[in-house]
Amino acid sequence: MRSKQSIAVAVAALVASLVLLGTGAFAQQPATTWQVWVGSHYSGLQDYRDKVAEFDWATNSPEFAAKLSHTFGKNVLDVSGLYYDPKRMALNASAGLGGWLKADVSYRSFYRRLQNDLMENLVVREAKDRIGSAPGGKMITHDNPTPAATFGYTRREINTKLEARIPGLKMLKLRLEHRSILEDGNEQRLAAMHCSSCHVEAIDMKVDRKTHDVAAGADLDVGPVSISYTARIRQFRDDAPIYEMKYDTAQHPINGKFVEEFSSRELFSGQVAPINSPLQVDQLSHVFKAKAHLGAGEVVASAVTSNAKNKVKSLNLKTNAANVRLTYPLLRKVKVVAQGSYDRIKNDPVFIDLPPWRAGRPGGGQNFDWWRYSSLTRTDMEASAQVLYVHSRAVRFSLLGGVGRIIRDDYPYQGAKGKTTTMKLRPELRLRPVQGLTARLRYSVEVTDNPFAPYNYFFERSGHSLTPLPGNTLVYYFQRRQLRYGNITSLPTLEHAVDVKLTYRQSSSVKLTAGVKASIGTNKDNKELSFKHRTLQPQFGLTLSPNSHWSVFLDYSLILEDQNGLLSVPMMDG
Amino acid sequence: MRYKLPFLRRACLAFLVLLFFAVPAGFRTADAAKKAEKVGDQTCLTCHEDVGKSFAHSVHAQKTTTKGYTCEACHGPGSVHAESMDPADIYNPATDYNPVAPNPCLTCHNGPQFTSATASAHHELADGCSDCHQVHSTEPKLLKKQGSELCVDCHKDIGAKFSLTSHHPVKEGLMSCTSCHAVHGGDNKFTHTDNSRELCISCHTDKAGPFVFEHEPVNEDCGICHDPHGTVANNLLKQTEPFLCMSCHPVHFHTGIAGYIGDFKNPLHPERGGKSTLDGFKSGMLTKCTQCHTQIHGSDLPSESISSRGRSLTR
Repeated sequence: MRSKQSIAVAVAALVASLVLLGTGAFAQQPATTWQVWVGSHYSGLQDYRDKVAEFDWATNSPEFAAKLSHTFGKNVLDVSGLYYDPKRMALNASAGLGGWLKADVSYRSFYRRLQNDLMENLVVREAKDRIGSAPGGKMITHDNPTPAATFGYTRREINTKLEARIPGLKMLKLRLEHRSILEDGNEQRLAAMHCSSCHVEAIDMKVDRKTHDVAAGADLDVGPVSISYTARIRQFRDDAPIYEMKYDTAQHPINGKFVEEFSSRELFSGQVAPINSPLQVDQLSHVFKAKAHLGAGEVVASAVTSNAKNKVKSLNLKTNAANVRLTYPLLRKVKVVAQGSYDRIKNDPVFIDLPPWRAGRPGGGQNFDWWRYSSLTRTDMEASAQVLYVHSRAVRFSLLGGVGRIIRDDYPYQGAKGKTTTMKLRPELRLRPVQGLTARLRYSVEVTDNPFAPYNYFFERSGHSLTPLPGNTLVYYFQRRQLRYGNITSLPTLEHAVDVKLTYRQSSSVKLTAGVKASIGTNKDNKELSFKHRTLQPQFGLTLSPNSHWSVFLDYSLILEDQNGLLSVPMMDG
Repeated sequence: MRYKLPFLRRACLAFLVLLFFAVPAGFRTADAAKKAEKVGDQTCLTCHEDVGKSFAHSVHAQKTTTKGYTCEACHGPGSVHAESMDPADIYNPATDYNPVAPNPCLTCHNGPQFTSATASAHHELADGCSDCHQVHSTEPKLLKKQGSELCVDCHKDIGAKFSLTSHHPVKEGLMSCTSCHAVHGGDNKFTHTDNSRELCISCHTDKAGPFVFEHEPVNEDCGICHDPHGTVANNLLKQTEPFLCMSCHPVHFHTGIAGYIGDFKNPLHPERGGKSTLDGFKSGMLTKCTQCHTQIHGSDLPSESISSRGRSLTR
């Protein structure tokens, strides 16, 4: 219903903009260009349709497109559209009335195909021996009631933007923006139960997600100072129904006994429980921006404060951010760009109240309650400076240096001491030895101290050192946390990158480019295990435009990437 | 990690010394423009008739406030050039662009979208605005090419990624580079928002949270697991499952269990069963972690087992 309303709003705004244009005072010499396109795409994806054709048509029928551009004095109208089928179409319209009113409306829809996981890998029963001759207790099974079903959703996006100036107040501009994203269709949701045995069920779940974004603001120019303010409200609603599943009674998988023992380790047993929790989030943000000329230079600053609220769980996520950027021509040939940013995010902690583990059982009753401190809660700071030196038309050089730091208040990873520091340096040289030929050489190095790492460490020692909890005879799975060590990460601590590019423009009709990008990332914190991430990207391009009607492009680019990352291996049971 | 600060200091010092002794070369065209006087459009069109024809239909021609001197509004006074006919005697934004000097285009185009333009990497490009815009043309936004084709012309490596199996629908024409990138200079890395997570969740709102049960890298940076331009693995994942997951998490401890060879039925649920193999637990536990841990971006519901403290992201 809301989808239809939003489409109606977009169409009404478009009609309004057309009417406004029709009544405008046009100049004497209008210019109109138009284009109509009728054609079809062919996609031969029969065997791999579901894997490859995530967005592609994969079916073939005629499609239509049209474009109209009209200028009349200081008034402009651009309209374009594409129709393939009701799920795939686009419409864009923008209109400008002198310098007083500007309206943009766009509507775009497409279909995104989602996977149907047949789960054929989820079938096994444990063997009592290592050669698989005698069946044991543990099992993995699955149930996909709709193996031939196709899943996907239609995504519709509507954008409306209005800008207006008030006669007599030319320094003031008012803005109003609206954006809606509507997604509806079906997706496959997998739901797992793992007691008494591991079983995964596929459920056909409705997709019904709506995002509405409304922003209003004003820009004010007062001499060398420009000020801008925007208030934005974003609302997200997942209107999918709540789906439930009957979770197996926790019991011994073969004989059905020990129900109390197994059930005492689960939140629910033999019960119907929801498998999804549709999210509802409201966000309100205020954005302030200011720009001022400082002599020949310019300073731009912005500040943002926002609060996102998970309405279902009453969780608040507060963000305060600010950044400032200074651009200043230091000397006749030297420009400095300095910038700094500060970002503070605070997410509410949540107390997770759980029943005691193995309550009422011998050696049980351990308390597993905990406070969930959010990893979102952090302070992110960054500062950088770039010096640009223009020696002549033929030679330019720039040097960028920067430092960034993330301080994570509540991140429960002790090894990083809650801080990640990054330093970067990027010199760049541009040469134009002769008219038409441009060469660029860029090198960058980035050093990171304590990159992001998993909070619960990387590897496990042997489990032989573990002893059962008091009153228990077995070592339990969760005790493995005591064995974890390795405050390392699969992200690089040192990264070098080189980018070389040559462009030759023989004339306005012939352009040739060639270049190569290469990078290598290593982790020096990890001396025993080799970590490398390498990329090599040669590229080549040729553009031929013999006249204003014809252009021929030939592009070639190859990406070679390899990474020998870390693999975390369990030592206890594997 | 020790930083080599002494080296950096030396490098910066050397650079400053280089600047100090730099030979002033100046911009000949700027000097020439100072001496010249305006001659009017008719004089320009005497030689540049072809340019004038296409320019007459462009937005710039329609919107100009300098009637009769439209050419010189951007190119500066042209009397010296008109006399000498030397291209060096007049300012040409396409070849004489100087990123240190004030950008003549930004004199008029000074709206909010250009607030950081003078600090952006695009601003330093060889020919500045002219690298992407053809001022005399009649194309929308005066772009040399439309849509992502223009961006890919320089960013070929990114263009190639859009041809990988999993990609944002840019080559299908359903998105464009400007859906994410503010090409005139954004708050951060040319994006529309000040951090990459905020950018992603402006469309993928269902992944934003805040959730009760979190997955830490989701909060840190979507780029830890995803490459937004395109990947071989599904869902824009940088590696396929389970290897991506195993970059941080240990393998599930059931992986090492040997499987029974033969058909089986679950004694308590006879409708469940199938063909078991010796490596069945490996294929079950080492194929796709998200078959069970479906709520990988976060959830408000606790998972089934108490010992995992509800944070297994299975429901």
